[in-house]
Amino acid sequence: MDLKGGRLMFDNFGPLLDGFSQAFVFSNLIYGFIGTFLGTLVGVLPGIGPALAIGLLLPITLTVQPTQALIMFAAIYYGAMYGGSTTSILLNTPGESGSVITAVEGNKMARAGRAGAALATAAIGSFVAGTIATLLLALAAPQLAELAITVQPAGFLALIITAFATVGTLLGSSRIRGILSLAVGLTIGLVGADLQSGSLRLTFGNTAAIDGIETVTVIVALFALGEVLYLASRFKHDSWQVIPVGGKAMMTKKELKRSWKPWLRGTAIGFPLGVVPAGGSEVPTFLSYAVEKKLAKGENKEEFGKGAIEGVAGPEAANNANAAGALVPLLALGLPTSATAAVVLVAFQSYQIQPGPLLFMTNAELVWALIASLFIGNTLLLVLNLPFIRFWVKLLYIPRPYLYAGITTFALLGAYALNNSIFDLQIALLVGFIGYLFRRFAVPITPMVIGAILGPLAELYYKRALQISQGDHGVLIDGALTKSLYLFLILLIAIPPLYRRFKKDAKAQA
Amino acid sequence: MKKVSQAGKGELVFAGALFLVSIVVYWDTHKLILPTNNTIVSPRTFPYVVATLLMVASIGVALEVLRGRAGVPEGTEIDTPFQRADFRTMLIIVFAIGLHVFLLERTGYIISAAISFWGVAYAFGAKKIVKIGIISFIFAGLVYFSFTNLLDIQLPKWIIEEWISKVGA
Repeated sequence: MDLKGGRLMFDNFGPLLDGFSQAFVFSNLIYGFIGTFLGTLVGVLPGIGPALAIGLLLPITLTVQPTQALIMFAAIYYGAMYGGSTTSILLNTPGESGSVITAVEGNKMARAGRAGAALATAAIGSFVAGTIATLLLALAAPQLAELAITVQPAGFLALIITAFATVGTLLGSSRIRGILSLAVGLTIGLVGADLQSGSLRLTFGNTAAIDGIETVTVIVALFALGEVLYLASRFKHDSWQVIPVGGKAMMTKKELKRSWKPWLRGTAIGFPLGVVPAGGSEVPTFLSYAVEKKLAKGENKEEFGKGAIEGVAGPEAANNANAAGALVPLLALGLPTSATAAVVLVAFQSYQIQPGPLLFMTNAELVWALIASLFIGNTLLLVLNLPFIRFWVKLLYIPRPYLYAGITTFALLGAYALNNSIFDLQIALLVGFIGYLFRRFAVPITPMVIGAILGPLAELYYKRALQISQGDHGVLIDGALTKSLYLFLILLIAIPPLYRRFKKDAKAQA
Repeated sequence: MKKVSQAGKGELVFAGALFLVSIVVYWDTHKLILPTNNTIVSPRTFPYVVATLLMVASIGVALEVLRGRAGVPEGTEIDTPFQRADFRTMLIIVFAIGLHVFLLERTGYIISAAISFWGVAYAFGAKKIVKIGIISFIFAGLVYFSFTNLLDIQLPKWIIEEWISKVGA
């Protein structure tokens, strides 16, 4: 076993080094730098997340080389995580779902005058987690891809259905709302000509709809226009207040001592939950927070709820490790498990590159350059963030009217520019309104995005599986992979209600 | 069954609308023209599954609300009293975006983007109308210039845009 592990390490080491030599090419470095800058920028600005930022820049895939564009997108992805924590800590307005938990303790720390320490533990924790997780990504993704080459369409269908179920039921306030969100996404995915038969579905005679609804339009509209409309609906009730950073973004020795274990534990929780489709960064960050709260002792434990540094260090590390973990199924299986990963998938596709088991063979150079640039980007981020924190904080003082007007302008541009289509803009307005309603009624948004993207893919694999089997549905549960995935699903759906009943019974007896 | 709150009523309408969407999907799938060649999987199968899921989920959400578990809006606490949505602010924004969609290919990017920027900023409480107007135009112009000249992404042109591209060239 040890021997095999050694061989695996060695196998990936060469290509990774090649990747580094690619990533260090000046023009690629520049794109990486621009990406980290833009990523931090959109992360800091409340209301814009990485999915929107990448979606907005997708039109550049028409003019920029694939390696450079993907390096930039990856840097934006990581950068937004860094920037997001700043907003959570200082403004208590998390820019993306992964930073929600950071706001709990982080904002309390800031209020108590310890903003610098909170920012430092978030940034350094993100760096540590990002580096370890990217290393794990470099090791795991090629192996997973190799395993996945033998996976049949029925297996991929089972994987997608698992992703649907986990994303749909794990997020948000109630399972049924998650499933509703997924169903709306699947419905959006139906629009257009059926890939195989050419039958037109849900186009209502509109020729612009034949090609289907552009994924990027959906994402941009949901995240930006939906958010702006929602904020507008609560305009009278909300106010915001930026907490100034006193002193430097630094930690004392004691704070460092309290931080490093949560960083490592956060990484250990975040990465695997990114690899298996567990629905984005909400679950791992919440889990990491719960673990840190449980493990804390003495006066540190009492600090929870009043600004405990462990409650920032752990979830921030989990968030970053999770982002890297989500790249594993994206690169190795072609399955995005978060909204941002989904936009990155669209970026690949616009270069006619299909992530999946064959990616490491057909586009090895590109993938390894991408992974190498993640290491570089992660380091750049640490350098860009801590010393220049004052610069980033200034962004929080942009007057709200201009901020939201700018977000709207960019969202409309992103929706239009990909195909130069007015139809896309009309769809964007409609989907933006749906995004508002979802926020209003506590329906999670990610399942809808995943449904819209993976729905057509699920149908494709379903059809392929049945073609291979000549219409025999038995093929769908044929093989160990499909059987174990469906078994896992049944457990996932059955256990929580059973558990609740069991607890009720136990209570009744007591 | 608990009394449905004000917010719950809105959510019932929301669930009802999605229920109607599921009916539309059924109807659309039912009248789908099938291809003449024999395919193993009909293009109807998948939409029927999706429509059923949407229907079941919308009924499920409606039942949740009727049981007194209406959704708690994002960013608020569970006991926050009902807050009426600020429809005036929302309407201005929807109107501004609608105008952008209508004007984009008629008056070019800069005018339509400046109008939507102006509208959203005004809706969010910016007071100095002239100042926002100037900022809107500068912003839209900068965006236009950087996307077309630096990123090579073409946007709808009209008089102002033609002039800018002459200067840029």
